[in-house]
Amino acid sequence: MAPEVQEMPTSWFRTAEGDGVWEGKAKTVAVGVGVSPTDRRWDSDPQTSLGAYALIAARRAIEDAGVPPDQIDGLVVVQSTTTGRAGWPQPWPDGRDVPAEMAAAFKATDDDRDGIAQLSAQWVMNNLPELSNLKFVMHAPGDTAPALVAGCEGIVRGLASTVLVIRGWHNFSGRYYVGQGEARGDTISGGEKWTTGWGVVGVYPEATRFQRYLHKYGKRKEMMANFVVNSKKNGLNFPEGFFAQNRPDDVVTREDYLTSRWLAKPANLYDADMPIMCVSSFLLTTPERAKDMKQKPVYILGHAQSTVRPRSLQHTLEESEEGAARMGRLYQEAAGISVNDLSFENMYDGYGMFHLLHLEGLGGFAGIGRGDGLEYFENEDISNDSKYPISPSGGNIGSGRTRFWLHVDSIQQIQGRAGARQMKFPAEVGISAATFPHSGVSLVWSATP
Amino acid sequence: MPKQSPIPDEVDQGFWDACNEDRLVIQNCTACDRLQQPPMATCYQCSSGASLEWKQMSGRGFIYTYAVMYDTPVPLLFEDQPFNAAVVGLFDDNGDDSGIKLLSHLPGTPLDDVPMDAEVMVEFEVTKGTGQKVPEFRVVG
Repeated sequence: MAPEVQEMPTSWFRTAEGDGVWEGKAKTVAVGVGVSPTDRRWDSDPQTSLGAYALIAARRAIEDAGVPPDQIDGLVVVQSTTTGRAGWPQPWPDGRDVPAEMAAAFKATDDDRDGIAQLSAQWVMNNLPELSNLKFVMHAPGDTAPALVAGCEGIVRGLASTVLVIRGWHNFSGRYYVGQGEARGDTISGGEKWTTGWGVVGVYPEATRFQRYLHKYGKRKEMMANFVVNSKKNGLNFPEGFFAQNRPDDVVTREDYLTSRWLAKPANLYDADMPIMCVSSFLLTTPERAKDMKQKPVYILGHAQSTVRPRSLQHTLEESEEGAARMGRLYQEAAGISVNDLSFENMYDGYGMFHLLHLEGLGGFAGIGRGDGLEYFENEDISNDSKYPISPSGGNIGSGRTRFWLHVDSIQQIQGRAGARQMKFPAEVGISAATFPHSGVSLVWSATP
Repeated sequence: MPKQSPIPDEVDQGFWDACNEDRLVIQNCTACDRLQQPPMATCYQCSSGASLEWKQMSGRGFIYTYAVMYDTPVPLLFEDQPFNAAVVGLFDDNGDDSGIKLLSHLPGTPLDDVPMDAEVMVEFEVTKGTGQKVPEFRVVG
């Protein structure tokens, strides 16, 4: 009988400073990784649906780890899969029929959007019968990083010994936000009246924080160019990513960046990621069990969550900086390391500005402090051949909106199988974190305990 | 610039009613002596609903930051793109930053020629949908 699906307790996140080293330090490892094919949008074929891709990713992770499926006793799934903002657009448009072919192709749940516009653990269990010995099944909130935390905490807490984590994204035709929801019409209701009412959405908060940053530190927007170019290059060297698979000739130059169309100036098209469809899966286990598996284990030294609530309408630059700095203190404490132990950083970059603030909050990675990041991007080698690679995964900007390339890359770098992205210097310890500087979850990865 | 008409609800009705009287008010918890915006049913800090009031503001503030919108989701504003969209910080009774922020199109300010930190003063604009007035801010001095 399948176990009951639990919701991840918020108490599993490490949020407080002063809690010391994580009691689960180096007690869990990542061994296998699986990533589905990528698509720009769903074409309504069941075999390219979110659900189909979840099954592909899961089976690839299991195969990658070399673990018999019946030895997997834990499953963590992120139920929400929208590439837009939660609740807007709706998970499934009113009046739009769910393709009947989905019901024929897969074992449905009582929600016919499952496998298309959301992914429940029950849908996964229905369609992955080889997971026959599950005793721990959980829904994680929001994103891959919380799901990885749920997976390793499940192991540390003795609820499972080998956990499969799945995180997917769907993307339908049409544009998000534009003319939809509260944006349409002559009137506006709810919380959107304070923001969308002035015609702003999406990138706007980040663009305004970037504007404030440029003003505060006396920097120029052009100084982001090398970061974007480097991220795009790393993305083209990521075989699992969207651009490497679908647009391998799409090299972005500094000139391309500087002449790209504006979204919300000072943010342009290349400062933003592109929504895609893709699913990732991760196989976590104990160091002892990993000895029998195929890949080199990557130890999880710690995890942390930093959240700063905005004082008013939206997070200010200073609140984002505070959140990033708090994350910088929390990850070092949880993992029992110093920033000088980091070989690389894979912080989030859904908008390039996120990465800048995350990076400056790490506590001095490559000597970068608050207000220093753009100068570093402009004048230093930030490639994967450098001593301090900046976003070696290429992140969302390099490979499309998934928020999981950073975790996949961290594992692959330490395992020494990042291919053309492989760092020149040894990848011993790295950090990945998503999403926002003012609200994110990080994990610290290591080659050794 | 044209704007959608905000539909007040029971929590923020006082704010919009004041706008229609050309007054800017912000929700304030008298127990905490703390402003909050957007309005909420209870004080974020003490969770009390009973101590919330509408506090009259001077309407003075400063341009904290801005962006130039080229990709608005609001069809009503398509023809006006690109346009300034600023985050305005309101001053408190002492002329200090109150921490409260509102958005503005900065009427009278040229496109992308926005003076950061410049002082602004509130004015009120009628929206076409319902006639509801909304706050806007103009650079002064």
